[in-house]
Amino acid sequence: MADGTDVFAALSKLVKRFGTSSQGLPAQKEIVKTEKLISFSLLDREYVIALSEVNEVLEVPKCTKLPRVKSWVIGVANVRGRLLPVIDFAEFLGNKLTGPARGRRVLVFEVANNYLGLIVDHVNGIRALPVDSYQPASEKGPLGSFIDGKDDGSKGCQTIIDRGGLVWVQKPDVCTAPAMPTAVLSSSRVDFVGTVAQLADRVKMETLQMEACSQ
Amino acid sequence: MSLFFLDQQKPIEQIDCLVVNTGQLELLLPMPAVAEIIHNQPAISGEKLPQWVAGWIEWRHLNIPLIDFAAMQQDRPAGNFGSSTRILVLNSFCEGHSHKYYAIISKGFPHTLQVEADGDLSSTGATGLDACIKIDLVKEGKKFFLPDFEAIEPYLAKIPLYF
Repeated sequence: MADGTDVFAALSKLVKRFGTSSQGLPAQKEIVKTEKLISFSLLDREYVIALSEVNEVLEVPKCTKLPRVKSWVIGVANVRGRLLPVIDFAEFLGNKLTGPARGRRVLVFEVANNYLGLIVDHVNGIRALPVDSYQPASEKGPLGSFIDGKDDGSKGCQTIIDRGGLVWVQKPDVCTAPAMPTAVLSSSRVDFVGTVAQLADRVKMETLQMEACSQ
Repeated sequence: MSLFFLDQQKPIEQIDCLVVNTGQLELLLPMPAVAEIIHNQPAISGEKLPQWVAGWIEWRHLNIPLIDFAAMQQDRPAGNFGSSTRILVLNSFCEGHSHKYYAIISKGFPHTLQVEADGDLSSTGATGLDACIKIDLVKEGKKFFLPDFEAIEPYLAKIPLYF
């Protein structure tokens, strides 16, 4: 059986060899801190609210009307045994809901024991936006006093460009919420601008080209 | 500066190592040889790769070869370890090739082992060890194998650059 000293010496030699020859680790992938938000449309604009602040999203439930209440109080709904006051958020702001009735949803909040549902035109889904692209905003318009800040998407697009990606933008004049594409067009290098149909055609064309290249 | 010089002269009394199960044997890797331990990820197959290379993996914006160590020793095709594996990214000496890093598949999670100069460590002194093994070690009744990193270099030279 060989001496343990020789074995340890062999290990020590290796440690020294790696110590002198090893290089620093290559850069770690940059982690962009994002915040998960629920995106919804109201009065032709897109808004987001922190996912953690919304209890749930419901289809507009059957409501029991209440007497002698403001016109924007639609009524109360029974949600799993709890009474949910439902409010037409657009009417509360002095406007009317613009989206089709079937797309409307209720955002349910529970803040300081107040259980409340707000009807919005459409819920677009969950979006993860980079925290550093948030900018405080002084928003004009019906929701102005409720708006905390904004993200116009331009920083996100710049990140995509920096990583060698492509940025395609919907034409602002055919977009229901044109603020975001307009901001991106004015601040970033954009590879393609088109209508939804043109964007879809472009996706199809690019996919076919990629498939042809991979064969 | 002089302090740094003195520190370099200090004899090593303890070496932190990782024990890695290759599916065939337990490798003892000194920590400086290991760049990082990462989760298992699917390897991308590549052209003209030796059969014991499972493919390419992406690590810190680099594409590095993923090697089945046991397959390399026996010159057989890389095996499938399933999903309960880890991948160890190792430093190379870059002798005769440009692969600064390569990865090996570990069956299960590697565990650390401290080897002390005056500890219970010996070798059976066995000859005719498997390829790429420098020495066998016995510590606390368990047998480990120290890879011959210099012998691994010619194998790395057989792997083409990622394209």
